[in-house]
Amino acid sequence: MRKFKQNRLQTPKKIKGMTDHFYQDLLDAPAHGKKVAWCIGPVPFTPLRAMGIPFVHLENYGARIAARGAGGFLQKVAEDWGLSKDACSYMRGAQGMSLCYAQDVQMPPEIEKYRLPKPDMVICINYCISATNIAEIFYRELKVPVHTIDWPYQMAKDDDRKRFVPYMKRNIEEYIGFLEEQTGRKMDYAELSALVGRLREMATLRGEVLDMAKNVPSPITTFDAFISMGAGNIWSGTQESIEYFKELKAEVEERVKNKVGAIENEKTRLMWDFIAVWARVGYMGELFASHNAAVIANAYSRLVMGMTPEFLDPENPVESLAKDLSYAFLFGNIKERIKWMKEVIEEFSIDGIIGHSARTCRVVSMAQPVHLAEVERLTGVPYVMFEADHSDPDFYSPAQVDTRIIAFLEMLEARKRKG
Amino acid sequence: MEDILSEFMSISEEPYVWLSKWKEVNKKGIMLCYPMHLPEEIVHAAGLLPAIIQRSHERILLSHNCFQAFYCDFSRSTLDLILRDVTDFADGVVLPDTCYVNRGLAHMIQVEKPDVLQFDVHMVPMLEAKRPIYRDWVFQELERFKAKLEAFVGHEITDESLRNSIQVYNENRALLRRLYDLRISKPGLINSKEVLSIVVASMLMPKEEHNGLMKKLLPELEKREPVAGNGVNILLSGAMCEAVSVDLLDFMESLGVVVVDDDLYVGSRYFAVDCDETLPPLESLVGRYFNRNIPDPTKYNPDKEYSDYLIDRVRKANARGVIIVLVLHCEPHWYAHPKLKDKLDPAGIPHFHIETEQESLSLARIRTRLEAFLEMVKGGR
Ligand code: SF4
Ligand code: SF4
Repeated sequence: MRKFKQNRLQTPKKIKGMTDHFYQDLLDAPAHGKKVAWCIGPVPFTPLRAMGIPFVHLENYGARIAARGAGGFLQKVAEDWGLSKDACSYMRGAQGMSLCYAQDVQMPPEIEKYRLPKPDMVICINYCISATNIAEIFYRELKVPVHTIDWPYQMAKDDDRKRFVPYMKRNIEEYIGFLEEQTGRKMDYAELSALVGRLREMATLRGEVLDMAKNVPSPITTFDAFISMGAGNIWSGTQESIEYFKELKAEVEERVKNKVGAIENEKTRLMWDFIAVWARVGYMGELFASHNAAVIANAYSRLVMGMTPEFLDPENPVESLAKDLSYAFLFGNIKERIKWMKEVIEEFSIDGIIGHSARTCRVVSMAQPVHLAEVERLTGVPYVMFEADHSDPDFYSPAQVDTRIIAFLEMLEARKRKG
Repeated sequence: MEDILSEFMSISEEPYVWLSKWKEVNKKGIMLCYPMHLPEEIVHAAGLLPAIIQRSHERILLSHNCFQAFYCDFSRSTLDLILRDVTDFADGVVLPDTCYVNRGLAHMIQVEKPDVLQFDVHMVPMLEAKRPIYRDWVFQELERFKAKLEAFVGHEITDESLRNSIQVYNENRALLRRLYDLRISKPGLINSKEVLSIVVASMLMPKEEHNGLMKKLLPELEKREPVAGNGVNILLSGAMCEAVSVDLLDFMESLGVVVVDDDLYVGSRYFAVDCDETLPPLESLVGRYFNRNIPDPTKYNPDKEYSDYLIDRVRKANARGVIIVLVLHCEPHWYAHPKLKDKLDPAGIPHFHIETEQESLSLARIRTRLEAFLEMVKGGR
């Protein structure tokens, strides 16, 4: 292998401790008499925080167990129960966890560490069919109250957004009503406002940090961005999330000042489309670094909470959350995705695109061959596509994927050399 | 009777040839509608012919480049039909969000063939009776859809025309249910290919005409007696958006399967629920959609479990077992699957699963397993 060096940022190293802490608190919550919520999809978390309800975001959990090599066991539990291996790997893992309660499945000690408390309530936002399906399974198997929030955005054409706002507002109001009913407490709207204000601050900082990847060499990679996602997600609305991104920003700014790149001797600059390969984040980071390729842009790590900071207004917290969902980046809207990619290619001086087709997330992988080909046609920037998965390592075949990516990187390098 | 059956058969064998000829002769608009949840009555009331998209019988050629291999065959086939200009006779396509696959389809068509006129309708997938929010939204969506159609045809869709369409559709549903009841009472009276062609024809041709033909066909059929055989009465389930392939139906019957009833969209689900004619028309369409008695895997339904529904249906039809056809890569169906198994076993209902993709259907691979299954069911007599 060639000699290479990744200049790892220090701040993202904090995520592990923060996450462990988050999940430990969650696990301890029932002992403190607290009701726990399981959330499917990007449910706005600020109302839960405002009411002091400990929660888990099952996608974050899926990424966590995949990154720690613990996903396979729980996914297998769900497969043994009869769920197809082709069903979303996050949801398969979550169902595995739920079966540990519903059917008393015993977990080996190395998995036991990742236990979730049994939910007292489930909240599901309708953003893909796996989400609503798994919600129904939890409802029947765990026999807990389930609240659904609709989110018609995937269908949206550009002119639709305004129409969604009142509907999403009503959805958020009913969601808050559900939380009140479950806890017997009233929403603290002053606290919700404060959380929305901090969410805006965090999301703005996050955008600024990610934009610094425009610098040559890029001070930060997409892999750092992936690792940082949790801070903007499960901690959304907290002071910790703001502190995290402030610290990250300072560290990255320092690099910009000193012209230090995240990859030594950066030769090519890449965009990642779309979801992370959570079981292989470090491995892939190395693969690209070994070829002096910096993966520096992607839409995924900007998403989840605070997707549209410009719409977040602490004076109107409910409406803000409704707008955040209504005006979210539409990864299902190919035209919008193409437009976004085109702009980023220019602003970030992108040489090539890495398309990860996540086999069991058909939502984010949708139409990838179409939009990647179209972006190449419009910009001349080539792409490579490979099939893997967001959290099922069995769908990652190093022999095939690595060779393919390496060949692509070599082609890009040669192309650059020729000028 | 044979004429009518062969007319239905020819429509279902070549749906797009038939539709384009129909358009040439009748000079009326055709709207292609994606399965499974669109209230077609609105399209009908606009004076257009709503035609439910059918899986093409031809090889898929162009859309493999758009959809990765892990998407369902039905959406791939739909895009292929559009890209190959097979459906150019149609005035537009309506894409309700049956599941996320066809949401993506809408956007792909926009990029690959922007001149195709599209209508989208967001039918909330959560069928929660206690929460008016979703009903209200679907009501609004139907109003929006209606207004868009009005703009397209250039005239109002009156309540009266909607009421009339609802009546015509209810009549059609009742006639199809009569056919199905007849099949349950006289297993083997009509083969499953014929039944399929009757349903497919209803999905394509003007309902008034289909009603007329059904009214002639049913009394004839009612007079007929089934040939006594040694087959096994089976209920056919699954397949979601797609019709079960005729090759598969023929093959199953050749091994002794007698389909007595089904739980298929291109089958009983299409006509299971009527609209309430006493309600204002749009409300009645919304009510039909939110009827939770016919659960299906693409919808979140806390009030009735899909497996319970299936078991009821099997019992009412006196079927000895169920054959479940799974469209390869149809994710919503997978989620329903474990519970089906869990519940059918203790209910003592034998079940057989076939995972298929029309492009690569291998009957030889199924044969031995299916034969063994049928023997097992017979043995349990
Ligand atoms: S399929 Fe994709 S969008 Fe849906 S729950 Fe899984 S990861 Fe999320
Ligand atoms: S419900 Fe199944 S068959 Fe229909 S579009 Fe979705 S995946 Fe395809």
